[in-house]
Amino acid sequence: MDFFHKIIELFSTPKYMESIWEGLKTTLIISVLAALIGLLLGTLLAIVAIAKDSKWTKLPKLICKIYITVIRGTPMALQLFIMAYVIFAIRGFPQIVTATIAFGLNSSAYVAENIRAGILSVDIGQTEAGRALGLPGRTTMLKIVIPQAIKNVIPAIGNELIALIKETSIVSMIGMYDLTMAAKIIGSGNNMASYIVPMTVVALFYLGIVYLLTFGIKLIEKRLRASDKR
Amino acid sequence: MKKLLSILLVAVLLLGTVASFASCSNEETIIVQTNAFFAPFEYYDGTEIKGVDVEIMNMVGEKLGKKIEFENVEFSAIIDNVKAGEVCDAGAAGITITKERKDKVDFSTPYYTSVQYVIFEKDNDAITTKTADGTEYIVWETLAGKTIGVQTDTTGWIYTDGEINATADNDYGYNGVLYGTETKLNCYDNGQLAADAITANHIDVVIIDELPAQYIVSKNSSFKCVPLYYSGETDADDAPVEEQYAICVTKGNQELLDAINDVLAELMVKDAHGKTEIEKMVMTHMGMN
Repeated sequence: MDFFHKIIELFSTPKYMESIWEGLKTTLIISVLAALIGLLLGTLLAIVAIAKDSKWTKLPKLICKIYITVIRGTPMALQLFIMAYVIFAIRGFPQIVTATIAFGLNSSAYVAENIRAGILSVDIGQTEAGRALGLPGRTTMLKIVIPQAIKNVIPAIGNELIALIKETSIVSMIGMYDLTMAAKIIGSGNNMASYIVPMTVVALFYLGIVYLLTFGIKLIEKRLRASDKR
Repeated sequence: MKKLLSILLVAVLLLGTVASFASCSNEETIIVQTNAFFAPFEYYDGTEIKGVDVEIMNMVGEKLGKKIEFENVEFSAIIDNVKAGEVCDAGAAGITITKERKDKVDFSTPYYTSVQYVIFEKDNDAITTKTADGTEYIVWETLAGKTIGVQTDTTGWIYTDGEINATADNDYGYNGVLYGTETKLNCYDNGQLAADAITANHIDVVIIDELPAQYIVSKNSSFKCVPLYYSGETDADDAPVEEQYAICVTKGNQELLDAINDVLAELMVKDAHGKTEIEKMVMTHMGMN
């Protein structure tokens, strides 16, 4: 019963709710901005990665490959640490920018691989058909391959966005006031002096955000698949 | 498509950089790092950091005519950040003066003497030593074989680690009280998390500074806390594990250090009741006024 009393106490104390809103704001800002950076940079990386081999694309492709390998191969927590304490160890540098860039870069590597996989999943026969009908390579890509690829990519991108939102919980490591930090503060000695209730409540908040996102992705997917025969 | 994307991306990154530099603080701001999980010295009240250290530093800021900005970071990062002096000027987090830390940063005069406390479950109080006059404490020896929780890099961690790992052959030059016993040490990000680990049956006791310990115990009816003692020849010789808090600044920042020392000197003057201003602040932030 104590557990439920504490939940009621949490929701009815203005100070605690203020903490939660503040944390929610930070979590959402980082998630949205990082997702944008991730999608843009990820698309760019994917385009470079699938470009035809030529002497002009050799170096960009190599950089792209190394970038994706390094970002995917190191833990997010350590990337965030390096961003905050090595690269952006500048006086008064806003942490939210540090975190946004760190998460955006991380997300871009995964998005790039998702998009690359999506484009490759469209059968080569589609490109060949387009070219055989006399369409230029560019038009074939934009009008035939990309529309089909997007449909295949959406679920994977959704997955990545969900992972991104939940992973932002580690920004409390560098002292940022996000949802997880709000839970830590509410649970700290001078407030509730127990982590169990605030952590549970905050987990529900994350669940809520992710549920809304999933719902949005489902809608987009449904529209894109409206003409599908399955 | 490619062009548009790259332009957009560059624009986003540039905007971010410009926005960040625009809000960069100038020379007039003193940045103080802390770990706001150490009530009553620093804690979050809603979205604001409050506490004794905050009050002290604000007085220092007033004296120097500069703005004080508090930043909340992991406790273990503070000393190194202050040492580098790039991202902050001072650290105020109830930091105990130790020799290792002194090599890295300059400390102000000590402003509070604390003792180490042990938090444990009430049912478990067979581990305490009780004297005839009613004082209750725990000596290191009784912790042998237990799993001890501490906050990483705090003095609780330093002492416990020392008692477990010190041998006559290594740097310590003496055998730790708990050396060779089956005592285990678990590190947590903050004291509250360690205390929750007692509830979750991960550890037996938490070793932490006096005031945070009392805070945690006052809010959790199943816990109890008593001071930690070094055992002497006889029970009467048992002595508490004492330490002194001070504020640290980057080495060579004499102006700031002098200002802090001036403010502390004013706050350490005892009033008619023998209480210093600092002690009164502590009581206020403990909610005991």
